[in-house]
Amino acid sequence: MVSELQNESALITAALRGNMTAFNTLVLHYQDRVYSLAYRILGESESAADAAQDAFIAAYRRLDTYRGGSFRAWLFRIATNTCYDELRRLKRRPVTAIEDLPGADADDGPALPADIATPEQAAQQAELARAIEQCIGSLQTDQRAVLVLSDVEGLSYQEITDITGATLGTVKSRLSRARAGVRNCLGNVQELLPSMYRLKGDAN
Amino acid sequence: MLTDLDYELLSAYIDDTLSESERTAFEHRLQAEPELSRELEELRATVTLLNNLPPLKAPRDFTLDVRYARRSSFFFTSVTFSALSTAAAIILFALGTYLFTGNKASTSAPVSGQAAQSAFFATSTEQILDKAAATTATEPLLNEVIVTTNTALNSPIVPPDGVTANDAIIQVTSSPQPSSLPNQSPLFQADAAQATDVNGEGFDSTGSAAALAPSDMQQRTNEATQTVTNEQYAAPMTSSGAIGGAPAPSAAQEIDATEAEANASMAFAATQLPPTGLALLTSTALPTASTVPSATDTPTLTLTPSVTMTNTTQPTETATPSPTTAPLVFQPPVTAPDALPLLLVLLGVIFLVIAVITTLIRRRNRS
Repeated sequence: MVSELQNESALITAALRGNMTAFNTLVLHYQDRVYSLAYRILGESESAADAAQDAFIAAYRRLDTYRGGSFRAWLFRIATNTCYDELRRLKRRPVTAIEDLPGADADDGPALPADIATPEQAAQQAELARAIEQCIGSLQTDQRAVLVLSDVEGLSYQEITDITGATLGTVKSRLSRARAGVRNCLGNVQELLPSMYRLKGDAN
Repeated sequence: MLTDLDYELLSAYIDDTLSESERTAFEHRLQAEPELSRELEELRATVTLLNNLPPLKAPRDFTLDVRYARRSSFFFTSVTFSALSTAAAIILFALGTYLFTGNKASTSAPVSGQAAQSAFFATSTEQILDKAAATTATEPLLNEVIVTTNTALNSPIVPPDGVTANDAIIQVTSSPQPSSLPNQSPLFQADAAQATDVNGEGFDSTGSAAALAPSDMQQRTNEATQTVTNEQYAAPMTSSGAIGGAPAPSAAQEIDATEAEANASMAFAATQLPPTGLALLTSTALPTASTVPSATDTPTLTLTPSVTMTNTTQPTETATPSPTTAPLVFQPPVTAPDALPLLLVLLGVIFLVIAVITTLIRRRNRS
């Protein structure tokens, strides 16, 4: 799913020289993932969009601090920080985000994977994805961030410790709790899930 | 029942981050403990589901406008600049306030002493007026000097033995070649009498605007200084009237320059008590502020009675300075220390406005 941009480093170099088109190419490539990360950490679409926009602005302004390596991890680090900023802001001025949780709003559902054959499968898949999003949203913020960065975005432990500033032990601990939490949540969400869930589990 | 440590081992086993020995030991447990094995399968399935979770579609493009590029490089809109401006504003405010209160303390210190002195020296206003009317000499006075004297007249001091406030003023304002002119006492007396009768409630046209100003001034001064007695209240009013109509100094020249200056400064200090910050700002805006000595900060200055006064009283101005007092002119204006705090506060306001503007710009850039 995460296809690397072939000329990513060239685009970064051009963006560093002030080429906005080059930077916007990077933005367009990563915006879905950055928004997804923000949405899954924040659990609310409007705040997630704000955080994602802030993340790209911050990334552009701090582009000179990028020291090679995974640009995605560097970008996610900034995005995670803007999400934490947004969470602090929301904590000061709480909003009613409950109805905006994944699954509650049909328009908010995840984009459908392209390899779904039948409408039934598509519906089941969408339902499952919505349930997973909901379960992620039920976790504590710290666990949520680690789980999304690790299991959804596929970052390494080391990258996660860099991003969150937590120790390796803390990251492992949070991740194990988060996985267990999602597992328990999925087992309780719907009747529909166990069969699909076991189906997936058996497949591995 | 699985423990937290079990879940961490399960998680690490799924991620294949266990050491060789740890993994071997854990696999032995998995074979022996069905609960642990079932948990592993469910967790693994969960991780797989999460791995395959598709990214959400961004509700809009987050591409950046060119303006971000330009604005981002602006130090003007940076947080640092706003913070520096705010810091500068605070420092300037503090410094201005400190200097202002320092000045005020130094000038208001003699007030109580002078007030007591004036109460002691107070004589009847009729006496003063008579003496003043006895000798009159016309001498056109410089506008700014009149302003000074006018302010000095607000002092509730009535010097002893016929030495009126006018004496002090004349000493202060005396020109090198004073000339005695025909006595204008009829006009003066009438005017002065009127001033006494009215007792500060405004003067007629002969009294001139100059008299009006002191009356207003005097009211304020009295409000501020509760120790001023009725006698004291009346005295400066008549003095003002005398100047307004036809100032006439007595022959007595006891008041030396320092006292005259003290009176003037006291008038300043007394009248400075009630003014608000706004009044102070107004007074600094006046062009006369730089030319008039310590009295410049009094609100009466804003009325600038000097012009009217000069016109109406020019022929009746008096001056009979003694040789000793002739050179006694006010020391070079000491307005710099007075204007400085106001200037600092003004600068502080400017910096504060800059800080607010840059913050607003930055906030607009974010949204």
